[in-house]
Amino acid sequence: MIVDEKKYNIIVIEDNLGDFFLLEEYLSEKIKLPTIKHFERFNDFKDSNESLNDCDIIFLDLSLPDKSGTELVEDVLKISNNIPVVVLTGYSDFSFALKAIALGASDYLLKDEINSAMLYKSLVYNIERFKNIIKIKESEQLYNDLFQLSPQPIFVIDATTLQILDVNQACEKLYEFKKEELLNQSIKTIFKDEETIFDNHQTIITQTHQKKNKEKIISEVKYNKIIHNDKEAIIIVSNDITKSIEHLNEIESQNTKLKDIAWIQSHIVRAPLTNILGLIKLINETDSVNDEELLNHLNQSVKELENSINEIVNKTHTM
Amino acid sequence: MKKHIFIIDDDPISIIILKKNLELIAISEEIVTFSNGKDAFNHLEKEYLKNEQYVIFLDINMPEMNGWEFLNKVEHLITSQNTSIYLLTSSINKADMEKAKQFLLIEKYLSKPICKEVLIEIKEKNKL
Repeated sequence: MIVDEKKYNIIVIEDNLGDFFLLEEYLSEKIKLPTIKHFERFNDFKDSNESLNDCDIIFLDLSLPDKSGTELVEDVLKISNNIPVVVLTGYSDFSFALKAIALGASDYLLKDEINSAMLYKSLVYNIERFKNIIKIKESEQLYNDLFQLSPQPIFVIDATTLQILDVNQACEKLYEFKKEELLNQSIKTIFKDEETIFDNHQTIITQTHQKKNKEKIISEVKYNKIIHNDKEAIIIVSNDITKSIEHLNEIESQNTKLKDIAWIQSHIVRAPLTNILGLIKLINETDSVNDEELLNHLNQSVKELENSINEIVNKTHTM
Repeated sequence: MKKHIFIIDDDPISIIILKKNLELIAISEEIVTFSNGKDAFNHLEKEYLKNEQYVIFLDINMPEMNGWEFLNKVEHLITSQNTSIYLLTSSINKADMEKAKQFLLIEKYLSKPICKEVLIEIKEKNKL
């Protein structure tokens, strides 16, 4: 006979001592050194300060003096978060055994049918299977976190009705809606552009979105088709670019002002100045310092220069 | 061949300076002045002849029709075969200089104040 030499930490919650001893004996037949902790009542189990971390499996009788049935299964499952729970029951409670599985128990054993081989098989099978279930749960949690905790706002919408199927926390934060307020609403509650088409050709679009307080933002949207609960859906990532657009506009308007100033300098300020330079050159070249006409023009140009400088100074004050 | 010299500029002092300089280098052709692009265009539309020669000094910033608008309109009317346009402006703005390059009719971009040496070059080139 093969005896399993691995270490197993087993909890048995069973008020019937006869049943417990039998169970203990069966376990010892297949396992060299099982560590078995026995509780007769639910409260004993609950109040024990035993760490459940080392525990591999729990065998639970379905009727205990202080608790039984659905309530018992639920409460034990709550405490034994990541440990498989195998329920023990008699023929009379068979239908409830199935219910216990539905509630989250890993397996059931009919007491009258238990033998060492069957018990050992159930123990090994449930411990191993539960490890896989935990892995799946962890990966589910990871994917859920990737969606929920993504710093980028994300929507999932129905591909045909455009109804919102899911939103993440960043989405609630950006648009100031609660998730419940958005679920089953059309995406057009937020996406305010006339044409909101999600086809395969264009995957980045700039849109106007509206927050709960009616404030409009500019968003760059990326999307992809996915299957969500067996339905064709679209996952949309929204990137709020309102601030960058505002900065861009501000820079552009300043550039325009600078260009305006360059134009004014060239055409308005430089015009009388070039006249002055031209007149002085003429006076020098023609030796006509006493030419009254030229001197009058010179005088006029200097005044024009002064006026245009004053004008510019006033204009820059208003900028 | 008859030769025409046009000055298109809204600034009377600028016109006087240019005229006096042209006198200094002994240009004898008659000089016709226009205070904006529109007047000059209207004149050319009526009087322009393919077998006569035109030398035009053109300012940019003018009321009614500025230098650019004049160039756009006149492009369809005259050719550089018999017409040399000199953009004569107070502007030293790069944007204006770049824009000037787009017009094939412009012979040269000249910044005011104009100097005699440049005018002598123009005189020789156009055999005035």
